Amino acid sequence: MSSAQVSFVRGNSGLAEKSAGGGVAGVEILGFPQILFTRTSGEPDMLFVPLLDAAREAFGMIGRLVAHGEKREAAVMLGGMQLATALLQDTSFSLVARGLPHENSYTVDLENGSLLVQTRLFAVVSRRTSFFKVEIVGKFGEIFVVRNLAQNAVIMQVEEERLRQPKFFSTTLAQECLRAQIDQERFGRVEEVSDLHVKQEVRMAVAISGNKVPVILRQKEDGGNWDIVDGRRQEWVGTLAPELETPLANLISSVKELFESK
Amino acid sequence: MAQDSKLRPSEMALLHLSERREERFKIPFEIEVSGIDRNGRVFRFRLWTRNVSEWGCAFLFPQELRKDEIIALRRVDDHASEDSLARFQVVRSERCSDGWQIGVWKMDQDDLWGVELQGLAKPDECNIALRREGESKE
Repeated sequence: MSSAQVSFVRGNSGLAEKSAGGGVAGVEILGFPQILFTRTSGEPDMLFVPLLDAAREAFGMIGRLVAHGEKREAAVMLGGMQLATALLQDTSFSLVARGLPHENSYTVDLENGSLLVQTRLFAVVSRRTSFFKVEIVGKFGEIFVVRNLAQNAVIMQVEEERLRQPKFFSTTLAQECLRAQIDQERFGRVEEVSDLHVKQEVRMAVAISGNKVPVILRQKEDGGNWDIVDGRRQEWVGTLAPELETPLANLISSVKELFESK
Repeated sequence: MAQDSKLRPSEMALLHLSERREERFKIPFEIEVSGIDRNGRVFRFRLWTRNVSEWGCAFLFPQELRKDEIIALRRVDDHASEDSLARFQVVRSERCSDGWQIGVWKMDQDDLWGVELQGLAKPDECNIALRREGESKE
C-alpha cells in the first residue's frame, strides 16, 4: 500500500486534513463535466473523510450564496467548481473523461448534500480472503448506510464519527461484512432445521450501537417459554419476560389473521 | 487547421498543456469571468479576451487565479444567454504590471464563442512561434 497522503486545503481556515492510504479512485461531482482522478489517494480510509469535509464545506457555501440571492443552480455550479479546485490543489488529482470504471468510486451530490461511495473491501480469515463490493451512502452530517452490493443487503448504519475512525473501512467495516456474510450462512442453515424443532419463531433486526443485530424469538412448544437468541452466533441469551408473551401472541395472531384473510 | 481538429471534443477537453497546438486568434470578445475566491466569496468580472481559440482564451485579470483553479466564463453578447456558461481550468497565471495574465482551457464541450473564429481574424502566427520557442527550451 502506498504511503502517500491526501490533503485538501480548506478555503477559509487554511487548515489541511490528512490521513494515510493509497488506491485508485474517481470522484464525480454531479453536474461537473469531468471526473477527478487519483492513482494514489483513493482508498476510503484515505479519501472519504477529507472528501466529505471538502464537500460539506462546498455545500455550506452553496447555502450561503443562495441566502445572499444567488440562483440555486448557479450556486451549485460554483460549489462544484470550488470542490474541484480544492481537489486539484492536491497533486495526486487530475482530470479524466467520464465513463471509465474506477476501483473506488465517489459521487458528490451538492444539490442534495450527499456522498455515495462504491468500493471493494476484503477480510482474511484462516488464509482465505473474502471480497465485498459495498456502497456507502448518506447525507452530510446524517447516518450513512452501508450496503453489500452483491447481496443487496444493508450491512450497517453508521454515524459519521465512526467513519472517521482510523482504518474504519479496511478493518471494522470489512470485518462487519464478513460477519454479516457468516450470519447469512447461519441463518440459512437454521431455516433448514427450524421447522423440525421449533413451534414458532420471530426474527428481527435490532439496532444496537449503530449495528443491526439479528435476534430470534423462538418457542419450541405450545404455551412454552420464548427463548431470545443472538442470531449472529445462534446463542441463547435469555427468556422473554412472561408479561411480554401476551403482546407477542397478539402480534403473531394479528399477522396470522392477515395472511388467512388474504 | 492544427492537428487538434482531428480529435474528438471529449479528448480535446483533456489534452495536456504541452500537446495543445490550437490556432489562436487575437479577437477581443467581451466575457464575464466568475468563480469563488479564497475567502469563499463569489467574484464576477467583465473584461475582454486578448486572444481566443476554440478551446481556450487568454485575458488580463485584476486578481490572482491559481493554476488549476476552475472558473466559469460566458461571453457577454446581445445574443448570448446568461445561462450559457462554460467551465474553464486555469492553465497559466502570471503576474504582470497590470494584473495577472491568465490562460484558460475549456472543460465543457459546448461552443462558447458561437462564431467561426477563422472568419473574424487570421491565426496569431507570432503566438504560435513563441509557444514553439518556449517548448523547445523546456
